[in-house]
Amino acid sequence: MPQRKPTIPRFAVYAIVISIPLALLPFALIARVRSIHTSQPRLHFFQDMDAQPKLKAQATSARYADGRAMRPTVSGAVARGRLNIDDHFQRGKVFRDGKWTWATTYPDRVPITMQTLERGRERFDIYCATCHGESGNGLGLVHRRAEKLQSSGWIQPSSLHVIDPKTGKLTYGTQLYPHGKMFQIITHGVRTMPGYEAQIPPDDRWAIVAYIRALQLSQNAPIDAVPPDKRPALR
Amino acid sequence: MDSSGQFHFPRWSNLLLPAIGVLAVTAPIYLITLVGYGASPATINVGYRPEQPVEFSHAIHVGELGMDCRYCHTTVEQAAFAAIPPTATCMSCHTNIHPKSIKLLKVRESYQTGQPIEWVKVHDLPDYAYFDHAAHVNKGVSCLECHGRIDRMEVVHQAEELSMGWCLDCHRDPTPSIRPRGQVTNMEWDPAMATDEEQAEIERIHKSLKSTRQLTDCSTCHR
Repeated sequence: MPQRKPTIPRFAVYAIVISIPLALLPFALIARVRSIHTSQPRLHFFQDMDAQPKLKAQATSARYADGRAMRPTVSGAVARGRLNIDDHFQRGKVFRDGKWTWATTYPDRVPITMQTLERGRERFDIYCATCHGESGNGLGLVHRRAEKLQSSGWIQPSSLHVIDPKTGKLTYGTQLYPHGKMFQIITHGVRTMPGYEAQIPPDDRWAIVAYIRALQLSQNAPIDAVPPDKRPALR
Repeated sequence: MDSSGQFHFPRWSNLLLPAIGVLAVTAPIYLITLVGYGASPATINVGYRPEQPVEFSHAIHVGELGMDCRYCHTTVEQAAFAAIPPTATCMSCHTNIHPKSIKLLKVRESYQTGQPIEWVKVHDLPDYAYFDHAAHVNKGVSCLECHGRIDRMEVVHQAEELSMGWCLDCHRDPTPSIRPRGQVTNMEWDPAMATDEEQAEIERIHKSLKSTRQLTDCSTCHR
C-alpha cells in the first residue's frame, strides 16, 4: 500500500503565516518611537563614563545649599581684570573742569571704524531691535505683540529719532544726549527699559552707541548728504 | 509520542526542512537589523522632549518675535557652554508684559529669591565629549545644525542624533554646514541666498579650518 503523501497541517501553516507579520511588528513599534516625542529620558544601556562626578557649567551640586555648582560672586570681591576703573569706558563719564560730566567722545579703546559700526549694528539688531525696531523707530516686534495683547503697563519703546519740541533737536541725538549718557542708559536702563550690563560687554555697548548715531544720521539726513550714486537705492 | 514514550517528529515536518534553512539565514539578519534600527541614536536620542518647569515657548520668542538666540544665550560666542539666561533676562520684558501671568510664577519667584529655575537639559553629551559652542558658531556653524528648527518648537526637543558618528559626518566634510557668521542664528537662511560677499566669507572660513585629519583626531573632542 503506497503511503499517503504527508501534508503540512493547517495549524502549522497558520503559525507560519502569522509569524511573518509578527516578526515585522517590532519594526513598526520602533518606527513609531522614532516619530514621536517623549518626555522620558532615553534608555541608557551602556553608562561608559557618560555621567562623571565633575561639575560642569550651570550644573547642580548637592555640596551647596542652593544646589548650584557654579558659585555666585562673593559680594565685594573683584575678579581679576574686572576692576573697571576706566570711568570713560565703563561708566561713560569724564572728569572735566572739576566735575563729572557725560562723555561726549568715544573712549580711546573704541576706535570708530567700519568694523565697529558693523559690530554695533549686529549687537543693536540682537539686543535693541526687539523693542526699538531695526531702524530705531520704537516699533520692534516685542512692542507690536505687547500692543496686540493690550498688556497693561506696557509703554511704547522710545523712537531714537524723536525731535525735542523745545530745541528742535533730536531728543536722543548727540547734542541733547551725549554718548556717555546713551552708554549709561544701555548699561543701567531707564524707565521701563532694563539695563543690559549683564548681556552686553562694554565695548559692544559703545559700538551700539556709535551705530545709533549712524542710524540717527541715516534717518534724518537730507538727500544731498547721500552720494549721488547711492541715491537710486533709496526709495 | 509513541507507546515507548519517545517523541518522533511527524512525517510532515520533513517538509519544513527548507524553511529551517531559510530561517537560519534570515534570523541573524533579522536580529542585527532589529537591534541596529532599534538601538540607533536616531531612535534612542532623537525626540527627547522633557517637561520643563516653565512653559517657555521658543516658537513665540524666536519664531514670532524674531528674537536672536544671543539675546538670552549670551555666552555662546565666547564660551564652550551656551548659558541658560538668568531669570533677570526674562524679567527685563516680563516686568511689563504679562506681569501677573500664572505661567510666569516660577520666574518671578526665582527673580525675587535668587534661586535659579531648574531647567531640564535636553541636549546632553557624554561628559567625555568636549563640545565648544564658541568654536562652532564663530566658524559659521549655525545653531540649526545641531538644534533643528528651534523657532518652531513650543517645547524644545532633541532634533538630531548628537552621536559620535553624527558629529564625524560633519567633521569629515564641514563645507555644507558652514555659513557666513552673520547668519549663524538665522533660522530661515538658505545657501542660495548667499551674496557674493557672503560666499567669499564662507570660502575664507573654510580655508581657515583645521585639516580633516585634525578635525577627526580623537583629542579634538576627547581631552
